[in-house]
Parts: sequence; C-alpha cells; structure tokens
Amino acid sequence: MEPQLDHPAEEIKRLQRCINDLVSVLALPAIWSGGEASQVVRTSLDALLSMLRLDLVYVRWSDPDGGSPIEMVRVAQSQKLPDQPQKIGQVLLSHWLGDDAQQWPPVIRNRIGEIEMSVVPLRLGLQGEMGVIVAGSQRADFPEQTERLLLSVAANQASIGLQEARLLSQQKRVASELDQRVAQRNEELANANDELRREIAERRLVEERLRQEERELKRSEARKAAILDSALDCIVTIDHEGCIMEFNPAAERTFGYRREEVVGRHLADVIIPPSFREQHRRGFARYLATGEARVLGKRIELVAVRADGREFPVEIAIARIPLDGPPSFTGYLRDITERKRSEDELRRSEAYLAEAQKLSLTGSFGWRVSADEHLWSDETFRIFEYDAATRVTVQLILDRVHPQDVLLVRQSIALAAEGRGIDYECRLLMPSGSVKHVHIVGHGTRDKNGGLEYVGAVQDVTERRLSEEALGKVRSELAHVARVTTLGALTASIAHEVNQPLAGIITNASTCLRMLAADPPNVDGARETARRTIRDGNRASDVITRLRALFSKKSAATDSVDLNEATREVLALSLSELQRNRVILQTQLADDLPSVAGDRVQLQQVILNLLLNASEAMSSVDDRPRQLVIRTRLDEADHVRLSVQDVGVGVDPLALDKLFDAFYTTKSKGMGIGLSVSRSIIESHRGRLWVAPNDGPGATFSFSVPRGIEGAVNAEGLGVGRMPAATNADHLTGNV
Amino acid sequence: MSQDTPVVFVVDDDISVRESLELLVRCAGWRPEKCASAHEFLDRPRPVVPSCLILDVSLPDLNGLDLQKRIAGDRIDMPIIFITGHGDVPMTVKAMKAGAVEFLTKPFTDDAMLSAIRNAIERSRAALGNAAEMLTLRSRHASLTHREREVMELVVAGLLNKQVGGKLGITEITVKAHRGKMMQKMKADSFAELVKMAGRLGLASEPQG
Repeated sequence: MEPQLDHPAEEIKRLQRCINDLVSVLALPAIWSGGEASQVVRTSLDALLSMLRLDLVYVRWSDPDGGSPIEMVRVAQSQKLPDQPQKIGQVLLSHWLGDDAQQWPPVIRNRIGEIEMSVVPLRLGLQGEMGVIVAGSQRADFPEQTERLLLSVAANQASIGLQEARLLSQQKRVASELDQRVAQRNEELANANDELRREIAERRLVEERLRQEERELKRSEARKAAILDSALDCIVTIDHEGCIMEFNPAAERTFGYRREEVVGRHLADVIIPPSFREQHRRGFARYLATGEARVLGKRIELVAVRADGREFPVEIAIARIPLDGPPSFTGYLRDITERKRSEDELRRSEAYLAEAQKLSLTGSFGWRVSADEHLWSDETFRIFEYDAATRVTVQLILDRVHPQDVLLVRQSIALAAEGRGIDYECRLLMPSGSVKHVHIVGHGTRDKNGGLEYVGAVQDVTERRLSEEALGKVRSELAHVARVTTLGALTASIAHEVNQPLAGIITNASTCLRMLAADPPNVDGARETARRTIRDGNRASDVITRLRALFSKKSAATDSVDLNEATREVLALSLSELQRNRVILQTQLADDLPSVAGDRVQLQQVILNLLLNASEAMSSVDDRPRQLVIRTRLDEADHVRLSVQDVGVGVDPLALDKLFDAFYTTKSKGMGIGLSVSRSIIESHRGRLWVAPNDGPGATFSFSVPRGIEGAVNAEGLGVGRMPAATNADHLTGNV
Repeated sequence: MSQDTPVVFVVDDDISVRESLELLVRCAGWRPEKCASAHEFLDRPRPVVPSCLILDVSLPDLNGLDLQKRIAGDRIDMPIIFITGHGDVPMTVKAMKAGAVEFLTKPFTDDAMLSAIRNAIERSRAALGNAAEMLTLRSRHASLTHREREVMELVVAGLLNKQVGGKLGITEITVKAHRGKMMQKMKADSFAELVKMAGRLGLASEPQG
C-alpha cells in the first residue's frame, strides 16, 4: 500500500520512527556481540515483536552445532496463540510456506486457530540455509514498506547475527576445541612434563643412590683395605682356579712375600708345603666338582710354609665369597706356632700338675658358692672314689665322710660357705668300708663380680696318718716300755749295784763266823772279814748316793713364770697331738695374770701332763665334740690358778684322792706316775693340785700356785731331795 | 794246802764279791784264784787238779754264758757255778741246760755256795779220773796188734771163738791165743769188763750172729 502524502508531518514522524527503529535494529549486533545464537534470536524476536508491534514472531534456525533446527516463538500477550514453537512452526512452515524456501511468497495471510494472521517469512542466510524468521500480525496492512524494510534489515541483521553467532559459536567451539585441545595438549604436556620431571627426579634419585653407593663402595673399599691392611691375621683370597687375588700385609709379613710377587700365582705353590699340595689340589677340585667341602666354614689347623721354606703350624678358616659367578674363597690364617707352644706347655704343665697331684695324693677343688658349682681335679675324684663325670654336690661329699666326722665336716663346710679359711683333717669312709684320712685346706677368694669362690686342696694322708699312728703307738709303747724298763732297769740297776756289796757283806760275815768257829779261831781272818764288811757297806751306801744322783736332773731354777706364756708354749708343742685326737681346744687365759715364782720347765710338765690326760680321757667320746678348755685366772688375790676341763669319761668320785697316788692308774697302759709327779711338782711350788667332776660329762683338773715374789719358794725347797724326778727313787726307797 | 788241793776260780768284776769269795773259799780249805775278767781267766794255766769256776754272768768283756760255751768243749773237768745280781729265770734255765752246776743269786748264803763248790769239785774229780782212765784204756787198745783188735771187736759183739775164726779165716785155736793176749794187754779181769771197756772206747757194734 502506498502511503498517503497528505499527512507529511505524520509521515515524517513515521519515517523518523522507522529510522529510529532501523538504528535500533542496526544496533542489535552490538547487543548480540559475543552472544550465542539463541540470544541473537531472542533479542531479534523481542526487538521485532516490540518494534513492529507484531503479534507473532517465530524463528527456526539451524543449530550451528549441527543438531536439529531450533525453533522459538514469541507471541504478543494479547493473543491467544499456542506458544509451542513446534506447533507454530509446523503450521507456518509446513502448511503455509512449504519446504522450498525459494517459493515462499513475501507474505501469507492465513488463519492460526481463530486468528487471521499475515506472516512474512524472512530467510536467514543467503539461501535461507540458516533458518527463517516468520513475523506475523493481524493487521491487514502488514507489512508496510517501512516494516518490510525493518523486517528485512532485522532479518539480515539476524542472519548476520546468527552467522556471527554461528561463527562465534564455531569459533568458540573451535576455540574451545582448540582450548580443549590446547588444554588437552597442555595436560598432556603437563603430564609429560610431570612424567619427565618424575623421571628426572627418579633418575636423580637413582643417580644420587648410585653416587651414594659409589661413596659407600669407596668407603667399604677403604674399610676393607683398612681391615686387610691392619688385620693381624693373614687374609688371602683366591679365585676359582686357586690363584691368589688378595694377599694382605699381614700375610706378606707372615709368609715373607710381597703382594706383587704372589698375586696370580697358585696358592698351593706359594704357601702350602710341598707334601700337602696334592691333597689341596684334590680337595679343591672335588669342591668345584661336587660342592662338597671339608674345610669350609670351620677352624682347622694345617701346616703352611714360608718363603724361606720353613714350615709352621697355622689355624685357618676358609669361607666362600658369596657373590654370583665362579666361586672365590677367602682364607684367614693365623700363625699359631706360639700358641701351639703355649698349648704344649700348658698341656705339659697340666700333665705335670696331674702327675704331681697323683704322686702327692693331693687333689684340688673349687667351689662357686652362690651357684653351688663344684670343680674337682682328677685326683680329688680319685680320693673320694667318684667317677670323674659325676656332678659334685655337698651331699655327695658328706656321703663319703666317716660318720664320726660328719659333724666336723659340716662345720667346715659352713665356714667355707662364709669364705673363712679351713685347715683340718678328717676321715672318709669308702663304700668298700676302707677308711681314708684326708687333710683339707681351703680359703675363699672373690671373683671379679664379688662372688665367693672357694679354693682348696685335699690330700690323702692315710699312709702318713697310719704310719704316724703306728709310730705314735710304737712311741708310746716305747715310752711305756722305757718307763717300765727304766723303772725295771732302775730296780735292776739298783738291785745289781747294791747286790754286789751286799753279797760281799753277807759272804764276809759268814766267813767271819766260820773263821771264828774254827779250832783254833782264825781271829786275824775274822778281822779281815770285818774290815771288808765295813768296806762293802760303804760301797753300798755309795751306790745309793750315786743312784740318786743318776736320777736327779739339774737343780731346779727359780724364775718368774708367766703361766699364760708357759701354757701357750705347751699348747704349741702339743697342738698336733691334740688335733690328732680331734680335740677342740678353747683357751681362756686371763689378762694381766700375775707371774708365779717357780721352775718353768716343771710347771710346763704339769700342764702337759694335764692336757694329755684330758685328751686321753676323751679318746672314747664320739657323740659330742671333744672340747677341752684351759683357763688361767687370779685365785683369791694371791694365787694363780690354771684348770684343764674335758668332756671325757670323768673321774670316779670315790677315787678322787687315789688318783694322785703313785702307781694308781685307770689307764690300761698308764703307770700312774704322771699325776703323782705333777702333784709333787706343784707342792714343791707351795701350791696344790686337785680334781673335780664337771656338772656335765668329764672332769676338771686344776692347780693353784702362789704368785710372784711373795710366795717364792726358797731354793732349797726345790733342790735335791725334793726334786720330782727323784721321787721315783724316793718312792722306791721309801722316801716320800 | 798241797799241790793236790782243788782250785776254785772266782771270776767277777765286782771287788766285794771277788774278795769275799776268796776268803770264803780259802776258809773252806780250797785254793782260790780270783780274776776280774773273762780274759784274765782264760790266760791262767789249766789246773791238773780238780777245779771249778765261780762265774758272774755279766762280765765287762765276755758274757758269762758265752764263756761257758767257749770252755764247754775242752774243760769238762771244770764245772761252772754261776752267780748273778739279776735273777733272770730264762738265763738260769739256759745256764743249767748248758751244764752249769749251780746258779746262785747275790746275795747268796755261804752254805749254798760251799755245797755248790763241793759238788763241782766232785764232778771235776770224777771227770779228771774219767779222763785219766780213758787215756789208759786208749793206750792199752793202741798196744793191741791189728789181729788182736779184730778179735776184740768180734768177741765183744757176741761171737763165739769158732765163729770168729770162721769170719777171720783162722783156726779157733789161733783165735783163743789172740784173745788171751788181748785180755792181758787190756788188763780186763772179766769178759764183762772187756765189754764195758769196749763200750767206753766206742767199739760196740750190733750183735751179730
């Protein structure tokens, strides 16, 4: 329709409006810029709808991404049109316009539902390949020229926009693809990078490790070298052919070769003595062939040879070097010449010791008290008659002890367990019933941890003891015999000495009578006989005098005697005798004991007599320790008393005084001189000697003598005529 | 005292004993000879008269019993009287078994000593006599001829004259002649005496026939 020219102002306004709209449409791309296709379409539709006051705008455009076309519709609010794009699309395109875009009319008026509409198809793209916009209005005059212009410009703009959008989208896609690809690539590259980095790191690690290993190796090599060089033992390494690979400085010194001289040579030719080379070769070959080794992994002693040809003993340990490949071996050698010598000497000295122990019948023992471990030498086992493999216990020891000595041995073991020294004799009873006498000494030592180790020796003194006993018996018999024969000899000699002049006297007297009875009486002869009688009588008297002198000792000395000292001396002399009788001695010697005046030797004789009597009184006591107590003390301010107390058979209370009578004895072998003589001695010291039975078993003999100068005996009192030894003769001649 | 007085030797080392015995012996009428030791005694000449020896058992040089052994062989004519100061029974027995006359312990009584001496002297006399007799017999026997000795031997063995002749290869008459001569020389008064003589001479042999 042609516009009316009569309204030019309206026309101008209309045209202005149109130009404004055009400008707006032309400005659309600015809005679209960078936007998506849908945005383009939407804005186009919205712009068209509002600008042209359309009732319907439909668009279909192809998906720039290649999918199915996209439809969109905008419907004016006042219209009651279905707003499903597909429906509208179908109506518009399929029904009204048809498929062929070239055949589309510029406008079509038709009904949609109840509404009559004029629609204008606008091709998007040069050939409509991009899609179509369909603008619809109810107005009959739709589209006017300006509207048509707007529409086509809008459509172009939309096309352009779509195209741009498509391009953009494509670009975007491409870009995004590119981006993706780049990203991918980047990722890949990054991964690869990471990989590389990792690899590098790994490699670095490996390198580092390698370097470390190299350092380690170097260090190890250095250590090995140091070990080899500083080793005191010879270290020789050989390969599978038996050729020397390593020869350390110690080996150089020991064998007398320099390393350079021997490396590469066969071991056998260098250090093995000629006589053993074949054996070595065979063994080596056997090992290589069978894997059977006789010399690996243990210490063995062999003979080696030095550079100068001297052979010497070595201790060698051979190890196979645990690496892959053909075997090589390291040998550690030590020159044991010295050791062998020491071993031989030790063995020899041990043999000597064992022999000496055997010869002397002395065995040694050790006792680790805390662990109750006993260590015995062979001889000790022999003495106790136990097999050398027996495990020794205290009970086993006690089993061999004579029942009467068990108490003593138990006491000694207790002392030993405390580490105290022991030195005593006891008897053993063997299963065969034979008795052995043994002398045991021991003392305690501390080991390095402070533990008690008891060390001692046991000597079989049976023979000695038996011969001592025999000797003792013989001695005592001899003494007895001597005593008897002394007395007998005394009697005999007195008798003999006296009988001679007596016989003379009697014969002369008889002859005298005969002569006087003769016819005539022979008075001269009788006178002669009388003279001779007198002479003979004098002779007899001389005999007595001579005899007395014979039996008297030198005149008694008067000393200041310390009874404690005197007692100790007597004890020292008689200790072995007392010990032999298993007497347990206890001394209670008073301090500050005043001295007595008297003959030291005689007083000691008394003390000895009392000691021996006490010991003999206990000789049959086995159920209690043979305790002997010797005491000294001050007795009533002016006397000194010494007493000897035993636990023996005791004294008969009715016979107390008879004990001191000469020749009274309850001993089967005694003569009874001892106590009477002792009493005489004490009495000559102005003292007294007496006995009293104990509360328990046994008796106590005591003597009391005046102390010091106040009670001093005058020399005469101790002189000839009062001497104890002379009491023998005195008794016999009646002088008591 | 005459030359025939028996001699009593007193050997004791003690002077009292020695001299008192000397007096006693002399008083009793014998001749004492005192010696202080065994060797002193052995040095003395042997007496030809009856003698005896009073000997102390314990002498300084030689024990009395040993001396007894020494002289036992050739002095059977000198019996021993032992004296001792000791009185040891075994010694006594030994001494007596060895032929001592007596064993006295000092001091002894004079009677015991004198009777012992008497005993000893008698023995000595007898022994001496015996010895003299033996000497005579032996010299008589030595004076016989060989044949006479043969005859004597056979005759004392109990053979008859005839048998003797047969044995010796001579006649009975010859035997008788020899026999007579022999009896004469032997001075045997009877055949029994001859036999005794033969016994003493040690000629007796087993009776034959």
